[in-house]
Amino acid sequence: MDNHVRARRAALGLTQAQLAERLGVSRQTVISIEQGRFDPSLPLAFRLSALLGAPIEELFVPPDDDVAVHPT
Amino acid sequence: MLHRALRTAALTAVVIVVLGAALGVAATGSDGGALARGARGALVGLLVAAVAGVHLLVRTLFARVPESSGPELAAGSVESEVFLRASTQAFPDAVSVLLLVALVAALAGGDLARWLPAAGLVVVLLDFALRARAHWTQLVAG
Repeated sequence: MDNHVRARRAALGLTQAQLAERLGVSRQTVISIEQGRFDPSLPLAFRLSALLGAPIEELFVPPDDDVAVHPT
Repeated sequence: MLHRALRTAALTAVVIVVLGAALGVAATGSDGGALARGARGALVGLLVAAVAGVHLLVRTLFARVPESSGPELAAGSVESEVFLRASTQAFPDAVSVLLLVALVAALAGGDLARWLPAAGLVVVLLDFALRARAHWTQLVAG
């Protein structure tokens, strides 16, 4: 899944290691998330959102076909 | 806490030795005198207890060493996800392989029955390792 984690992290002046430490996950996890290879769990996404100061929907960009629209 | 753990381990060891001895007598036959049968059974019981002890030791160490509380095994880490995916996929195949091995070993007897379980275990571990490698490649190093 595409995301803006790398840009947001860089804007805050955090290294991957620092972000990983604050998230309580491995640095490899941050690398994989930034590369779009690994989709974080919902709790981890919320922690990322809180640490990076951005809503989840601004951090992560789901593929078009994954966005289900149900008109009410 | 430690006292309770030791008491549980001691009781578990006793149960394992007794069960192992019973299994040993069943597995090694009833030839010889009562003393010989008992000795064989106790030996097998001790071997079973040793294997169980190694298992408990590995589990305990896995839960105690600093790395086990490190970020790699934290929920949400990619390493944890790789392990979870590989385990989930390997489990049904592992059950099937071990079931087949148990069936064939029970019917075959002889040397085949002696070595087939070990071969089955190797297949299961290899299956898990290959799946873990594939998921690691997909999520991290692809």
